Amino acid sequence: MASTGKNHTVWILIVLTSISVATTLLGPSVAEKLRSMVHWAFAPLGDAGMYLTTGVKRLTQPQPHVEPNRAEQLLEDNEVLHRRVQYLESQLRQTHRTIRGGRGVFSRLFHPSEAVPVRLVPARVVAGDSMPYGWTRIINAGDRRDAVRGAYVTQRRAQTDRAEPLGVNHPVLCTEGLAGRILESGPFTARVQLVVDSGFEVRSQIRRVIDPQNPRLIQAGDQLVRLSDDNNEPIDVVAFGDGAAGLIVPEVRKVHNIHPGDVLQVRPDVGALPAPALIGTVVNVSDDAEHVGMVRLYVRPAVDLPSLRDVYIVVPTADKLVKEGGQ
Amino acid sequence: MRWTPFLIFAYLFTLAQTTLGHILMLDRLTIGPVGPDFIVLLAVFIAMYVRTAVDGMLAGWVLGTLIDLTTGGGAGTETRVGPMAVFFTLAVWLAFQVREAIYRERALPQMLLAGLFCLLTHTLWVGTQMLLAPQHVFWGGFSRLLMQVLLSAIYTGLLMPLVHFFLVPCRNWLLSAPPSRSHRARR
Repeated sequence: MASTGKNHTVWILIVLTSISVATTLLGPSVAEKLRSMVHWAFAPLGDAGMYLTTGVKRLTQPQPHVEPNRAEQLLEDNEVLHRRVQYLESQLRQTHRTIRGGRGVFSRLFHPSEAVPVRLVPARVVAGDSMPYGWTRIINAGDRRDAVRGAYVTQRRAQTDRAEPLGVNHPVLCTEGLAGRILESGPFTARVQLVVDSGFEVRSQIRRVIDPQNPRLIQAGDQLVRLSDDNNEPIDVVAFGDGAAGLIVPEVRKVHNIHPGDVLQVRPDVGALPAPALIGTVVNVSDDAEHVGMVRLYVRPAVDLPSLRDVYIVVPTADKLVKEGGQ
Repeated sequence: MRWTPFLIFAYLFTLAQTTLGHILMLDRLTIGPVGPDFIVLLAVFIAMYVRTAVDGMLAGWVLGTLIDLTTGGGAGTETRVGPMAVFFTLAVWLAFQVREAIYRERALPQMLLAGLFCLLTHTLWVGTQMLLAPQHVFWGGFSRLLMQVLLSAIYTGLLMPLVHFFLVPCRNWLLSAPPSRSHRARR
């Protein structure tokens, strides 16, 4: 009897191993379906675990060291900037009032739609990968909430402490930068591929930051000209996650004269995010060994990915707008 | 083997691995994240104390499948479900065969066994996923991935004595089958 029981177990093992071999050969499409059937089991309890994990990660993030003299100078600069901001805000309020007045008239006449054609679906990271070789996260929103494969995901961050009472129309949340893209989606959960994952690829653009104290020259036609607001066109590039902690932008023409500090943004005219959302900042520019006259950029992501917790899924609504607008 | 407690443990270890395990992960290294694998630790513990190799391999299959189902990245593309289940099944069998040759209660053999288990299964997993991935996966990152695997295996091995210490009191509840009716009658 005991040997019969053991034989049964052996047969079960053979069958299960054969199923594993079969699912391996069948590929990622089967994997996506199988994972979506299991993720829901981890999402509810994983939420509390990830709350703790991302909190600890945020606390352990290395903070830059600032010298006392530099700190004082920064405080003074901050005060000056604060006053300037206040002045500009008052100017802006006045301008907004003027615009709102004119817009009201215009709106009544032509009824334009001004919204960026996207809907932002809030979600939360509830689990990570079992193994540390990939940069993906599971979020608690699936295709029932329009978290479809290929949709972009941005970070969302509270602008105020949750303990404070919030006023009406207070800008509570903001998107800070691109966090990744949805790789797999089930009914209740989805897997997000973060921007630094080695398989991540995004058509993007480099926006050069103009520093009046350090002017730079760029090539326009046959001559070198000074970079200014008039000729600072965004440079179209393709960025790849390096699998470690950043992004790589290969094959960028040297004549564009890109410096560390320039920013990498989403190209608003392609893909599912029609706005120049920030991806990261260029931290290193080196010669591309494989291509003469080209440079290779290393970009640090804008979002602190290890502590990523709250996200927005960007759902394009362009088709809907076209239908309603009739143009 | 008591399958209900085992499945509870498997679920809890997977949950810890995908959430709280990230606290222990070193994710700001230039080579990429390095972290311990708690599921490997449970598999090694089972391999060390399970009664029969087949039971251990079945448990290994369950744990490997859980890793497959909760890992989506790593090879530059969506990973497949199945390879880790096969590798865990084989690795548990291997660990079962060598367990008599080592002092299971000592920390160093535990660390070595867990480290080698992790190194073997993870290397095979990474290699298989990259081989089966579409052509756009760049092999330049393979050496970096292998370095991640090596450091993760060392990290996992270092944690084995601690996990062993906490799992030993649960050993009978987790692994011993309850005495059969005929056995009780004889007593």
